[in-house]
Amino acid sequence: MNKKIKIIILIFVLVVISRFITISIINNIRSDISTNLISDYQKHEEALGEQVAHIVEAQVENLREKLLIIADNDFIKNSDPTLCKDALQGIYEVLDTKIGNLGRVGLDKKFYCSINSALVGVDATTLGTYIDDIFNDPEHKPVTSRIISPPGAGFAIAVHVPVFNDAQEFVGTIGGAIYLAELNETYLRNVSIGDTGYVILLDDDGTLLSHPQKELIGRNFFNDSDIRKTISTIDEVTSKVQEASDKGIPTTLQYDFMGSMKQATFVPIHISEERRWVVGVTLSLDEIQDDLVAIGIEDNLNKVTVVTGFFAALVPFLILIYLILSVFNVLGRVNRSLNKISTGDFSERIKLKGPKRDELVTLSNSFDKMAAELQSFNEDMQAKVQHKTEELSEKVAELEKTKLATLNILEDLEFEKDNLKEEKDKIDTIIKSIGDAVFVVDKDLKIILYNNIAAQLSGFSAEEAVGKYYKDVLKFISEENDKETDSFVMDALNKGTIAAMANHTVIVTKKGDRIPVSDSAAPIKNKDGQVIGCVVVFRDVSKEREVDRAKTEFVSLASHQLRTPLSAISWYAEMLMDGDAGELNKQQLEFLSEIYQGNKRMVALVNALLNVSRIDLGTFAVEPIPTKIVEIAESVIKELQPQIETKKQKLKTDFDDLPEMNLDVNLTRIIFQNLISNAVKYTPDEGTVTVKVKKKDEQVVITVSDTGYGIPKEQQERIFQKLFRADNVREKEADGTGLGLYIVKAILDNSGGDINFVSEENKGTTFTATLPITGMAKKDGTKGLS
Amino acid sequence: MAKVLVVEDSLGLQKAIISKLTQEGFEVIPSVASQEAMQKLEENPDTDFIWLDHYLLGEETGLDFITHVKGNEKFKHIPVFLVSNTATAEKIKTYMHLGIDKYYMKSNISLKEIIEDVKNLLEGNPK
Repeated sequence: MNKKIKIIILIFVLVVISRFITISIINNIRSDISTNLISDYQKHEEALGEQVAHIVEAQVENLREKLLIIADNDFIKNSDPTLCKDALQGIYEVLDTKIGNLGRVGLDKKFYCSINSALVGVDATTLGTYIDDIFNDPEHKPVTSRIISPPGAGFAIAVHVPVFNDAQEFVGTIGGAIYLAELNETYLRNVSIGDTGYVILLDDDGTLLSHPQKELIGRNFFNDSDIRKTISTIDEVTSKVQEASDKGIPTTLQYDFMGSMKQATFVPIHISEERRWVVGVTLSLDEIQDDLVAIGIEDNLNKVTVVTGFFAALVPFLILIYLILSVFNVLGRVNRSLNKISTGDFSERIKLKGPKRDELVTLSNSFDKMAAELQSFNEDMQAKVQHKTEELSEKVAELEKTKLATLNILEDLEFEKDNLKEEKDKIDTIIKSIGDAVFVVDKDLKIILYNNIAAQLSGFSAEEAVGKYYKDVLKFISEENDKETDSFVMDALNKGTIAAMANHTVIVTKKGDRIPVSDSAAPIKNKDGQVIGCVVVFRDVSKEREVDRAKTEFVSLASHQLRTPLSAISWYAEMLMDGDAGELNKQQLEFLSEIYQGNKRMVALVNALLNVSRIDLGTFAVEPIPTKIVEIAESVIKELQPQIETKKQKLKTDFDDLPEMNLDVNLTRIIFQNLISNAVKYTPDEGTVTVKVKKKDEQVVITVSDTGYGIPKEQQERIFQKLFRADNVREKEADGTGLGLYIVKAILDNSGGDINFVSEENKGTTFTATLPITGMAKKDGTKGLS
Repeated sequence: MAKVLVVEDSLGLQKAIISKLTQEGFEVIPSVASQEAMQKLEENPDTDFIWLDHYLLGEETGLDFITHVKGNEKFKHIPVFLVSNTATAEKIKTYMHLGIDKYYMKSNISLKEIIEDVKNLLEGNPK
């Protein structure tokens, strides 16, 4: 064989071999680049998935924490729906991020208060099994629902946490919702990955919680027929989803979606100890391929293949060897660079120098261009990741702030509540400690508070009384005519003033017994002064009434018994003085007269004591009849004329011509009798006593002035006290009981009048008594004064 | 000579009343109890005037006695003065309703004053 031909054959063989080697190496490179790129995308899908998972986890966790704080609020623990509603509303209003459907579920598993009024009364178990789960769990751990559709709201995920009362007994739950629409719009829908990537969110049984196509939310990813139609290998996909959910690790796969290959990464979200949701990040493989084309790698690799063939046919062996060595050198560098890039060093470049037409240089340049694209893609991705991370940090910070704000508000609430509780405890204790029966009615006359004594006295328990119209429980009637005597309650409510029970009121007990009671009703006003209810206090006065009767009887009997011997003394002295038993000498007559006068004073004292006892017992009556006041004044003056003449005093009168007014004749007489006789008694001989009865505005003014001894300044404030007599007159006049002015003041106080005086020692005194022009107010009582 | 029935359980006071009335020219029929007084009234249907106290000997009081007198056609025209120390407003009201002519509280009035009023009344000249 020709040596040349052998060489040519050898070269040809070598060229063929080298071409195969070259092609194989280039394919290898292409495969490496593609694999690296895909795994790169996968890493980013995973990173993104994890961020979404964090956001969702943070949302659920934050809701749960907020709920746990709210669950500890005393008003929420309290079973009163009104308080609960107010508390919820208050908390809701201060939340930065609102909790949807915030509501409290009672032990009957029904919502009894909620900021969503459509929820109130709804059986929570109809929304999902999570309520049963938390109720049945012996530890009552917080639960997160599957997708639910509460009334008056869209799809949502509910979180419920247990509520424990102060005795640490489970008393129901408090829950709130995350609306999927909101989650979707705010966090997931706008996450973009390349041009075709998107994010989905699935719960642990495959229900779609979020999807860029809103209509798919709520459908089941595993067995929805529409979804199954679009993915040929759906079972493989669902098994990857379940693997991520079950094992709690990210999974990746590629699958055919209506003829286009997709790559999806599923990342678990830890919703609770048992449950994991899954975030799916999906990207089209075509896009990854397009990226390869876009950066020119494919084109250049093809060119390399063609060029190497062409040169192989023409260039000598050495060139071939050189070529092969050069190619190896470049490819080796490409491979090293690729390895560096695949470990994340995107700054790696080959930077091969030489003429522009050198294909290896072109390859090297193309590679560098690709690396640059990859680097910028990576940087772009990192920027996105960083942006998302910042957003997440902001969210977390905001959530922290909300939590703090909630805590602050709750602290304030707690403080207010402590204050309220303390006040309430105080009031409760006071009411319990009161030995009298107490009940409180609201403005609709319904009993809202009722103490033990009220229960004991009436026979109706608190359970039977509270919430009822009070007249249905507590019947107050007059013991005299059986008529209702509860106008005092209406008086307190309508007039806003304290109203006393009428005399002789009895309460009819549950058994039908009648117990005499006494006391009053007082209005309860809000801070604007409006009457919002009334508190009624009453007590059993059976014993008091008995004692009262006994006292009155005693006083009556005693006075009768005293008066009989006084009458005997008076009448026998009178007969002796009249000479019925024979003429008396002057001295006998004088002594007898002393006995007679002393006896008269004794009678006056007995009368005054009897009056005082009636005043003190509150049993004296004021019974006005139309009377001319001036006539009473004149009659009293006439009676006192002998004393005035004896003391050679001057009496001046000034009476207006007044029409008849309603006066109790006896009492009016007592007023004039005491004031005028005092003036006469405490004015020295030849002094002046002036009596005036004048009309002034809507009053009748009685003025009795004298030029007498006066009342010492330091004793003036005691002048109306019972049995008090000023020192200066005690020396001058032994006669006097110290009861007259006390009785006068009591009469005026009890009949709508008033009395005061001015006095200067040794100059005189002026008493001024006033009565309404209409006369005296009527007062019921058993006895008059005499 | 006018005939006066004095119904008064306190013998000390009764003695003074009788003494004064006799001195003033009255014929006095004394009594200490309601039933006894009714009996004496039956014996003396020409009685001109009754002087009555509230508390009397026995079960019945002046209220029972005045009820008997005013319920009896023969005696209901006879004027009655209540002279008593039992001065509750209620009792006086009741006596007034039952038809007594006047009320006096013993301790506050002299015998002379009462007898003046009795004389005036019987002479058809009441005060």
